[in-house]
Amino acid sequence: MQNLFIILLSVGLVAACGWAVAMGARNRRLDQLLGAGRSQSRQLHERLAAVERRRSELEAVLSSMVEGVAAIDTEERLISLNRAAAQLLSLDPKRVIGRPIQEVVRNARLQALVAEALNPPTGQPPATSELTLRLNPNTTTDDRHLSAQAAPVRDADGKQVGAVVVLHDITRLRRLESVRRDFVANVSHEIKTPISAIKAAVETLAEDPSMPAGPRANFTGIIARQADRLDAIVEDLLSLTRLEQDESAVADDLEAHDVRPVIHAACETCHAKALEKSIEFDVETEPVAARVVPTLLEQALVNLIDNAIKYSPEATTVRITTKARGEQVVIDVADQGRGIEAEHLPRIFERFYRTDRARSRQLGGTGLGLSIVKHITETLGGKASVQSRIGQGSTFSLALTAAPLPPDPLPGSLPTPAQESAESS
Amino acid sequence: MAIFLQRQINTLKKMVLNLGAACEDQVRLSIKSVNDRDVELASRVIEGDKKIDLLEIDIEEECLHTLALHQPVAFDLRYVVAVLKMNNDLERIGDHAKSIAQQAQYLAGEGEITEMPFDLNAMSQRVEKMLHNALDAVVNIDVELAREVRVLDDAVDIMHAGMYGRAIELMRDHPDQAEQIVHYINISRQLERIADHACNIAKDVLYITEGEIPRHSRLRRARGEASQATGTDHGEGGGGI
Repeated sequence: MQNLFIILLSVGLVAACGWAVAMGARNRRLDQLLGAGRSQSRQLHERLAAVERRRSELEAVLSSMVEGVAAIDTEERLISLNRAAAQLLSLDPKRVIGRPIQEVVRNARLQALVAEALNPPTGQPPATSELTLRLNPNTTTDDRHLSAQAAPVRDADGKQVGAVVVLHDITRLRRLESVRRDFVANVSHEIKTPISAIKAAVETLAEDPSMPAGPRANFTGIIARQADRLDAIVEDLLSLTRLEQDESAVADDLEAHDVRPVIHAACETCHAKALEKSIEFDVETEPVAARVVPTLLEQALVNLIDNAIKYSPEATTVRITTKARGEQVVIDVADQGRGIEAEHLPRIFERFYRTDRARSRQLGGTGLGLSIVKHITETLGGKASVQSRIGQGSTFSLALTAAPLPPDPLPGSLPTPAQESAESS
Repeated sequence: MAIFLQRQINTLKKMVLNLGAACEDQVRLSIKSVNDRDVELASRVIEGDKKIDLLEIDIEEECLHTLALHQPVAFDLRYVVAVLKMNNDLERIGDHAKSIAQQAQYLAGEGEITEMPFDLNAMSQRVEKMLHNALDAVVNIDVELAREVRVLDDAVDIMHAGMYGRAIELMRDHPDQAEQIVHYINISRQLERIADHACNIAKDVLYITEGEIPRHSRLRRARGEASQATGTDHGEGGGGI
């Protein structure tokens, strides 16, 4: 009985030990499994995070690019586009993703480019094209010029999965090109006119040596006047070129100056011309100073006052005022002329731009005066602008950087506005 | 089957929009060639018309192919039929653009005239806008936009009709410029025709959605057949003298 008990007990013990051993082994395996699972899940997380990081890196790169990038699938549907592309093509990404390119951008060139990139001729470099997008159907001035490049996109097996289009905005470049073209054409035209007149006068004089003194004086007068015109044009062109070259040098020369003596000097220069048309100056200045180069500012003001005199009817007033506006000093030159049509205002500071060619030439303008004013003001770090209404005259304003008033070496040496006005009348 | 038909219809839409974009370009460039007196650009436009003619044939074949193989019904059928008709209108628009470019080539070789018998820029901008809106209406099947196009057409017709009186006056005052003025009259005529075709495209959009032919609805109402639903009839394209 006792033996049986011992046998049973030992069997039980052995079984228990076996069970414990077996369980231990199982737990170990389980632990191993769990450990492996955990590390796999950690790796997976890391991978996912890395993928996510790369994706957001790519997205950041794409979205901060100046160039527009758009991806298109083989069915010609737009599958993604970066911020620049949406902006260049004036698209709302939310509304256009997944739609065929033909529906989204109706531009024959772009469509042809995409078609070519989707069925590329073998061995050819990526296709490029220039497109013009009409943003506003009512006008051509808002047209956007883009240079587009398209290339096929392939997966790891080399199978084509779509195309990618890269867009550059070349509107500014095109505009500059056209400005340059216009400038060359204008200069040639402006110089050709006086030369033709001189040539005609000289030929007439040469053909008729026995011409009476009266007509002869007429022709020599023409030659002299036209030569003066040529001289004025070349002089203006030279000062524009100088301004362009000296832009950086001038920045170092900027100093705080009281603008009142400069204004009075400019009025003095234009005094004779004003007298011819019995035009009065009404100068109303506050004691303000600006960071300027006095000679340049004087040149700009002379141009503006000269213009005001030219376009004013006789016996009127040209008003010159200064005011401090925050961090700026604004000098206004206002005339009582016929005013400028609104359509001309945005282009009035362009070289050789004229609202009325014949009239302006008759008045002896070179077409460069206001352009010089704009250049000088920008060189001085300011801004030139114009306001005008038909029948109410025009006001040209120069906004300059304000500065503390320098100590006046000779107080009382400036003529008062009343004196100036009396002098000119 | 339905998937194949849908795919086919998408292809048709893409093709007709491609043709539309090409036509828009042609019209824009032809006007530019008149304005800039650019003979080289004009000859590019004339050359470009060949591509439009080929596209038209491709689209027509694709439409017939769709009708024969898929036998669409209801909306799909109307869509295919409308594409067939738009295709025709667009090809005609291409021809008119080519004709304007031909006038540009002539005018570039002649002296500038004192005054144009009509405001070319105002008229061309309006026509380009009509074509643009008509094609936009096709993209989104936008009934409202399509109706707007028909309103714009009236303005173009008025501009065109007013041009004749001015042209006669100008010819009387400057008999030496008569030839150039005749060419400008022709340009106005081409623009007016382009506007009519744009209007037809807009009408096709209405047809796709409403299933009713908006043309000649007044006549058909008189015959007692059209429904009263077409209260927005703005008269028929034409308008030319």
